[in-house]
Amino acid sequence: MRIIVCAKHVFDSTEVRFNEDTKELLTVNVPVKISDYDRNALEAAVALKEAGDDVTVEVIMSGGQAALKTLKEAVAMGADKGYLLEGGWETAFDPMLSMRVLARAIEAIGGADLVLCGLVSEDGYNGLTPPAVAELLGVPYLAPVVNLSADDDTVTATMDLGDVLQTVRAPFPCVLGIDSSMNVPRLPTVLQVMKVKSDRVATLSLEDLGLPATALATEFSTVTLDRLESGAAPRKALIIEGSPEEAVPSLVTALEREGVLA
Amino acid sequence: MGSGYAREYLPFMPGWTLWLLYPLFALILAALAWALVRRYSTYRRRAESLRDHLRAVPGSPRRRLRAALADALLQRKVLERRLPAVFHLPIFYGMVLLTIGTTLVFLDEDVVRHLDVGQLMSGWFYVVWEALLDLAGIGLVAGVLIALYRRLVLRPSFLPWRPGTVLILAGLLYAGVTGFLLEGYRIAVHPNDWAAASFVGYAISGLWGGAAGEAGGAVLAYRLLWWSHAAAAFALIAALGLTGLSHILTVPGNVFAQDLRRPRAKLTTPFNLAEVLESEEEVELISGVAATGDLAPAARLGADACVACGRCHAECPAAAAGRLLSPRDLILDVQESVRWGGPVREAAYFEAASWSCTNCYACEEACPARIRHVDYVLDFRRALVDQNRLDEQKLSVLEALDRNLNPYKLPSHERASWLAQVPYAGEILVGETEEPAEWLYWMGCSAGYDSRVADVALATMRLLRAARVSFATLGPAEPCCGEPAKRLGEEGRFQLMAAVNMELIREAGASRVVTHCPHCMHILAQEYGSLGFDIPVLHHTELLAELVRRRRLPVQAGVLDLSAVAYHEPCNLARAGRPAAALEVLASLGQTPPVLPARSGRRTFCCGGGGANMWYTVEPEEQRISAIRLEELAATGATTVATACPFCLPMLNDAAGSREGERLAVRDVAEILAEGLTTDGPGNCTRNPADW
Amino acid sequence: MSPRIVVAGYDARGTGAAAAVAREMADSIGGAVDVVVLVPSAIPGTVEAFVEEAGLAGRAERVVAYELPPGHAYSGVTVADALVDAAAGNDVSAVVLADGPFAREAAARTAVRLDGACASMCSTVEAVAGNLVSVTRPAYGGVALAHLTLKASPAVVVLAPGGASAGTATGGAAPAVERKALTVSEVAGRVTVLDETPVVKTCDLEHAKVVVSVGRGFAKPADLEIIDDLVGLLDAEVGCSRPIAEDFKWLAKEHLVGLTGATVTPDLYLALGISGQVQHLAGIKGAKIVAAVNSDGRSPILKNADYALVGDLYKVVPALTEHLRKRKANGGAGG
Ligand SMILES: Cc1cc2nc3c(=O)[nH]c(=O)nc-3n(C[C@H](O)[C@H](O)[C@H](O)COP(=O)(O)OP(=O)(O)OC[C@H]3O[C@@H](n4cnc5c(N)ncnc54)[C@H](O)[C@@H]3O)c2cc1C
Ligand code: SF4
Ligand code: SF4
Repeated sequence: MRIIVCAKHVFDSTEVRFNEDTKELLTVNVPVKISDYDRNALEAAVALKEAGDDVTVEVIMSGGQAALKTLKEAVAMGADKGYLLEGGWETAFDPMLSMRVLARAIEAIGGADLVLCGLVSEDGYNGLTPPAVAELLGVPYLAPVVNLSADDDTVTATMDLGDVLQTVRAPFPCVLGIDSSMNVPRLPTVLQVMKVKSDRVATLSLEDLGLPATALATEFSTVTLDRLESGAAPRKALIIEGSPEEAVPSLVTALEREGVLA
Repeated sequence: MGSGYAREYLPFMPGWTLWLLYPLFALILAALAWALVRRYSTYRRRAESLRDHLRAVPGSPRRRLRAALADALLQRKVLERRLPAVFHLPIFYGMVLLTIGTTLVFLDEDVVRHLDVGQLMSGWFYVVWEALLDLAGIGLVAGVLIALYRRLVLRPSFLPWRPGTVLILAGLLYAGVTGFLLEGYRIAVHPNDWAAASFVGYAISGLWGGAAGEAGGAVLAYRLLWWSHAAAAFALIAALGLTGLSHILTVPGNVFAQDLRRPRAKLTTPFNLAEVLESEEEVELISGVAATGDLAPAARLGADACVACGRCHAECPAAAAGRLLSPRDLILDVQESVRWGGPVREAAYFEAASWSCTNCYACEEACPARIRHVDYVLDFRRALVDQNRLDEQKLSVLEALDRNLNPYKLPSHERASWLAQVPYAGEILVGETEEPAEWLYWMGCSAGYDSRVADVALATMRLLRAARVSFATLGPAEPCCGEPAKRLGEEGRFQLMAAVNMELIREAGASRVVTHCPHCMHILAQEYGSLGFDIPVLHHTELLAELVRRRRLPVQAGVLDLSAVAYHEPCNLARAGRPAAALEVLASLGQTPPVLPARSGRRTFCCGGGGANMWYTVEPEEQRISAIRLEELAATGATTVATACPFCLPMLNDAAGSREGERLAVRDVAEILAEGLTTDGPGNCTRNPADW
Repeated sequence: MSPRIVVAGYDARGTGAAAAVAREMADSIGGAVDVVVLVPSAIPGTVEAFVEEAGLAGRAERVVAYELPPGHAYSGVTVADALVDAAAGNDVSAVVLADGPFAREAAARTAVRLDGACASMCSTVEAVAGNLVSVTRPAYGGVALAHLTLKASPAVVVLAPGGASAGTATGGAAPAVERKALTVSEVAGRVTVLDETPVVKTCDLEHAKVVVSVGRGFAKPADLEIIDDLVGLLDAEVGCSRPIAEDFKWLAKEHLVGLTGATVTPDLYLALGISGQVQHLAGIKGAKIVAAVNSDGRSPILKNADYALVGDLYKVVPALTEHLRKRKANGGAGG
């Protein structure tokens, strides 16, 4: 069985801030990493590899040269090989663009029986790229997967649909969106990352994928980012002073005034 | 015999006795030698032998030998506990003297006599020697009886049931008693003027009375008794190689094999990442012990030296809390696996035990064999990390160190945000001062994110400013020192963090570092120290003590009322080999010194927050360690607990919140001192930060 | 041919919300709204009952009920098949989906097939000149709000989980209902459903009017008991921060509020011992009023709440419970 995991190199979402003055995201000195949910996908892939014979796991990582260390971390989780995608086109908001590049990359390295993706990405949180890849490849998409097993030519997955847990079976090939509750991804140690030899990582240029950079910007781009504003909702931020005995009645009065107490 | 005092040689024994005795003795010695060689051969990991370790261990062999002998001959560790001091000392010295005595007899008769230089066992020396030996025998028998009483009747809970030990004690008792009986027999049959010197034998000779004689059944009984005495002695000699009696050799051996300059709390450094990265050669980096088969020779010797005394178990906070850890059982398990090739234990077998440990070193402090339990725990943890066996709680701490540079999992840009409100912040931030300050004040993550600890930092800064100490802090730019990674067993991650931090500290340009966190202090001083960091690091209590000594702190002696203050000594200070500076400061500024709980000083009991336990929950657990400790502190009658560690503070505070009755206040020494300040430094901020 | 907005949802509630958004868009560009329903749908009953429950009168001009062939179920592929079919031959400027099971798959597949653009988690959606659609959606887990223009057409948008802001239904003409057999693509047939296990929900955070949420300020699981009476008095659902649900597992994951948990839109969100990290705040943007109790005067929740009480929750919660009890005994408001 051949598994490909699509992983995104992102800024750490717990460290990124919004600069009110420049209206930009502050990413200076912000650590970079594998998008959280993609680590769940990697873990799921490695678990399949550990459970079966003759399973290979390959990772495709976006982010360009800056993502090399991130890719090594991904490989150190237990993948056989990692591919670094040439950078410059990455987007948090244009799943249709990401989908084109990823689908081409998957084909360029020979296709897969299973493509595992994180349900969403840490930066964009779209959850659209993996099903779009499935559509372009013409294969089923199963998500959010909370349980997974595979035999020689089919995959069995349990999906958490909110009010129901649905278990389905599908033949290869198939794209899966892995839910973060499916597993606890392992954290490769620094030594394990250091031990990833350079022959286990390769680069894929856009040319290899038959995608000139200019076409990406013109033909395939479907979204423009107009502007950013702070994500924090403006709240009243009133502090009610005093001991609990004094403050509690003031709070209740205020809430009554807002009409939110029945 | 008439010419003076002399010993009778093998009376009542047939002439062939020696012809049987010596070959048997040779056989026993051969068995002992075989057992010892066999034992030594277990101190080996693949190609690495104990000898390789001994060649590499730092420190002069002479000093190490002296330390080993001092432990053995002065029974230093034994004497730390009252009851063992009473029985182990006489047993040990009794056996040493009796062994020498017996050896001398045989040497005298079968060697010295043939050299024609006179005899050793004669004259006054002989008489005094006999008296001494009887004293030794009394000591042995009495000691063994007490030991047996303790083992069989008192049965302290920390002492494991070991039939072998009872058998050895019985053997010692038998050898001792039969020795006296034989001596009494000899005196009864051949009384002489100096027999009273062997006062015990003399007394016993009366018991034999008419039963003893020169011939007949009585002699047969004597001979049987004699041979059984010899057999017991031989059995004990053989036991030296085969049983726990070997501790006579392994314990001093373990002391000899150690780096004596390594402080109690220093953790092992399995590799130096920076050096490895620079070196041309391929180095196999191994971190941790995945199975007892991977244990290094010194660790094997260490475990083999355990005498199952249970002292570590009695002191261990994890064991007291009902966690799945007993340092005694852990070491005995390793011993079992190492000594006679018991089942090889995987690190996973020790998983629950390893995570239960708070790295408080109480076990190491107590251990008479000077075993370094935490080394084993840490090596198992390292293997568990390597095998990706961490649960989500521990993983997320390691991740947070990467992502947020702190184990609180809070954004790095929110670190020490309270500093912005401090009026003099501009004067104390590294990079904003005109010239580098003399001291770098390292605040630690807790001051950055725990508002209670921010108060401690504010109090410390007030004191430093009042004493006009030149200091600066990295403030929001300070990263985690890496302690959680080190203690969770992710050595590589720790060393990466250490490399960055050492550079950061050097760039700050201060000549010394002060911190209110004993954990940071330990990491910076000891662990960075072994990676090449050489800027001295002091705990704030040490600097404060120095300021008090030099009368630079504007606090009047005797102003503080400490009558209801109990001092909880943080493990990391107590066992870092640092003197209790906090006590010195409190004692000199208080009307009275603070009160101390039952376990204090070097024997202090953990708060439960060490060993990265601060960052995960341990299950199962019957009682929280912090609650056990708080109860001890409350038992002093104190209403306030003083401490000097930002982990002890929230741990004990948390326990105080869940305790019935009047809530104990928990405060840092710096906060208590700051209250006694007569003048503040310039522009000091005395407001409680919670008011902002 | 007037531009059309095509709408789909998993259930009546979501479909209604999506249709409301579509109505506004259609009105601004002088277009019409088509709602796609799959039969048998995820909810029982007739199409007419569905139209009624979703409040589609006045919101949609047309409802196309697609009959699923035997052996096929509601899925990302079948919804996409229906949407693409409904769009065929029309000038479709946007497709609007309520979030829910299969919504994002259906959206992505539809966008790929129609060569459009796609966005999810949209809190506002507007049709602008030239067949463009602009949306706002979070970036970096809520750190910022991104204003995007979807320039490829049609724009396929999935609304934010709590629904996007939209005017309430004013009533009006009932839509024409049209029935069609659905031609299902081959991919849908490759997936065989083996088992379905209903999940018993212990809480319904998404629709709660009051949410009382607990965080790491609670020292041990047993302490959560102190909120029981408060929750009863307020008729609230219980939410929590991630450590409570995922690290400590004191509450089931259904109670988790935030980026990885539920997005809530109550009138009152009461945060007890929650510091208010951005990932948590991401889930409570839609709350009308946020009140917080936190012992740390510097905690970020204070800036992100409407009313904050700085104090120990172990003291405040009992006092608040007592006060509300008296208020209730005195007959509610003004007591
Ligand atoms: C990718 C990603 C996704 C995430 N998704 C989510 C998510 O969906 N939901 C979520 O909640 N988190 C999420 N998080 C985690 C988030 O970053 C925070 O770690 C988490 O929300 C903190 O939970 P908390 O407020 O309970 O704990 P803390 O941050 O520890 O806050 C505890 C608060 O309690 C206060 N307190 C303590 N004692 C008392 C007392 N006695 N009385 C009153 N107050 C007291 C303290 O002052 C403090 O403010 C996510 C993180 C990442 C990286
Ligand atoms: S270090 Fe402390 S907790 Fe760990 S085994 Fe020793 S005594 Fe027990
Ligand atoms: S490890 Fe040390 S203290 Fe513990 S039982 Fe063995 S010898 Fe005694």
